[in-house]
Amino acid sequence: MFKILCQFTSKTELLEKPALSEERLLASSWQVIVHNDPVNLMSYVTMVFQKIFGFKKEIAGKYMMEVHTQGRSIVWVGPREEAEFYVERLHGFLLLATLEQV
Amino acid sequence: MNFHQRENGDSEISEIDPLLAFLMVEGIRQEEEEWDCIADSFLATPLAEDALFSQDWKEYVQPGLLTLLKSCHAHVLTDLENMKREQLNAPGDQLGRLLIPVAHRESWLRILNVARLSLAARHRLHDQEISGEVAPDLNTERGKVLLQLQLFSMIQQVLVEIELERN
Repeated sequence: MFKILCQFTSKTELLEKPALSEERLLASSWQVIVHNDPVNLMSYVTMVFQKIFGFKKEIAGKYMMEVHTQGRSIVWVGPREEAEFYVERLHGFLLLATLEQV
Repeated sequence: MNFHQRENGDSEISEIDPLLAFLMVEGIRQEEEEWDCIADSFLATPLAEDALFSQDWKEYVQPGLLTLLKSCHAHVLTDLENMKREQLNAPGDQLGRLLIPVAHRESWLRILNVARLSLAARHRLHDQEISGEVAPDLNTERGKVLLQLQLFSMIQQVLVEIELERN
């Protein structure tokens, strides 16, 4: 038994943990996208962005305008768990939001 | 109709015409199947291509969001009930008054949105009608719906401004 174990361990090599490249780090990021809809008031969307992401009024307004003019805006990028949390909060205010991997 | 911001943060809408009071109460009422419609349209999975995630979202997240919205709805209904009760006890020609406690403001903001989304979906309103570019003809049912939508937009706009000023 001892012999077998020695044989086994001697053949086992420790692999070095590879450092995550910037590309791989980005691949693990998720983006929160808010989509345009004709019902929500522009001021309401701005207010919701301020409430949820803590944006200043100008920044929140910029994202809101992007949603309004381009149909969608990436309002946040980061780890998946947090992205899911933000989408859940946006849905709580009835904003159309989805998740996409970067 | 007048808006007044009290020192304690509560908002008061006074001199509400009986027709507007009626439209307000009627438009805020949500039937059970309408909640399902809201859930399907606005609380749907944000990642449809991931089946397992979508199943979890439907099972765990959606019910939580619906519970949140229904509890907000209950706050709003309480305030509307108070308005109706006050109106019943008031002399015949007195206009309505709605008090929105500061603790209910966020509920109102969410539920006005639910009501507007429901109206737009139920009556298949087009973009110009939703944005208020079409003057409502009160002789028609659709005109009353448009008035309801514009009334909710106006109240929501004022509440958003109050909320933004507060922050």
